[in-house]
Amino acid sequence: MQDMIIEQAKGNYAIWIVAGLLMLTGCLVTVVVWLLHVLSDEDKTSKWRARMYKELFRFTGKREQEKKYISNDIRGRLNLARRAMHFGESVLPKAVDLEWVEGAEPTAYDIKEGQFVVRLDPSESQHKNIATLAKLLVQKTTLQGMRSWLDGGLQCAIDMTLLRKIIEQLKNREIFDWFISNEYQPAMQSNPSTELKGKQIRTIDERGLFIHMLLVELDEFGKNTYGVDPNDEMGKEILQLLQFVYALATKRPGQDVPLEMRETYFRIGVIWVAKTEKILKSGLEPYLDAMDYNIQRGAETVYVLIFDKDWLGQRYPLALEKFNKRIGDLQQQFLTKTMAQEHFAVNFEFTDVLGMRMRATCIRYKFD
Amino acid sequence: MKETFQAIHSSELDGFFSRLGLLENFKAGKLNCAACGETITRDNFRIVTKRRGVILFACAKDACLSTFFNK
Repeated sequence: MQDMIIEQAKGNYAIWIVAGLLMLTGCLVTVVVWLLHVLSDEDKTSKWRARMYKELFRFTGKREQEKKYISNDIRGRLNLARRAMHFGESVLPKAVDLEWVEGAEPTAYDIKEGQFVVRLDPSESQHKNIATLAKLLVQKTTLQGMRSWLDGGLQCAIDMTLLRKIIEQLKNREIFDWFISNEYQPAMQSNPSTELKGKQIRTIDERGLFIHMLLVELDEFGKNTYGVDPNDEMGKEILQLLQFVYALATKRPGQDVPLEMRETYFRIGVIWVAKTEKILKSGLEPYLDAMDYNIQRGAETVYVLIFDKDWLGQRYPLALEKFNKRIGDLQQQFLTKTMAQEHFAVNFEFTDVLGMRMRATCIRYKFD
Repeated sequence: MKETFQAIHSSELDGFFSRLGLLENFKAGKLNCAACGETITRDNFRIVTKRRGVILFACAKDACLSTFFNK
């Protein structure tokens, strides 16, 4: 009897050892997979290196380690924030890299043509360093070629709104608060024109049309007019574009707003897919007709804005299924039955005019 | 494609200006912001570049940085 109990205990012991080894192997595999995932991502490794150098600097107080912390932290945070916003278009600022110039070396230093050397502060002001680099990045790399002749207030409002989006993506309260009090508010309140345009662009951004429509159009306009001498008409049309997108952004259910901008430099049409019963009862024809109408009127770009119907699924799941199928068919038929070419399609979340969180899809069509 | 900036630590400004051969001018307040004309100091210096062989500085004011990149 005693031998049997001992044998059983030995058996249980072996099972526990095997289970423990399996768990250990599982943990090791998880750690290795996670490490490979982090190491294969340059921006994530920058963040980890920053943490390591921060601790090293805390213990040693060496300037070299502080610098490595500052540059890795900026690189990792800003590039990851930028990636979270990116949707494959060039309208957002480029990724950033940072190299230190040694101030202590005795040899002469020459700045290369077009190279920029930025002064950064000690690591205790890292929130300021990050906000500064983000600002320089936005000012240096967005809307290139057209910045010099953009209305000053509009340019400032665009820069600050884009910057705010990047800083929000950092998800760091200290940096955000510093940026809002020291950069955003003073810049946005610097004069009445900037303040007004800033509020309009903020509203446009809240509806998701800032980076998916306004910046896309401005960026393309900058590329199309590269080398052309700026004239008053261009400036006037840019302000008209702002008002056009602002009207779309503030549109209330049932309200009519212009869905077309037909000027010299901007020829844009908008197809608004919001009324469920329209697409379910009338079918796709009205939308295909709208696309043809825009083409005939000389539109160079058409945006199709589709608003999410999650609420519909809660009450009428079959109607939602039918709606989604119609949307898929519509996208297909725009490509096969019209001359439209899809440039990009992006899903995004936004806050509607009534303050509700909603999802939408923005599809940009071009006619080349 | 990345945008690369060079950086100088604020505690190494003297060495940096010395390497550029501009330390005396910096200390004498003879370097000015290319946008607003204000004297470049230890506190307000933000960025420097070279354009058509000329070294240009900008102070930390938002409007100056914006003008600096637009030029």
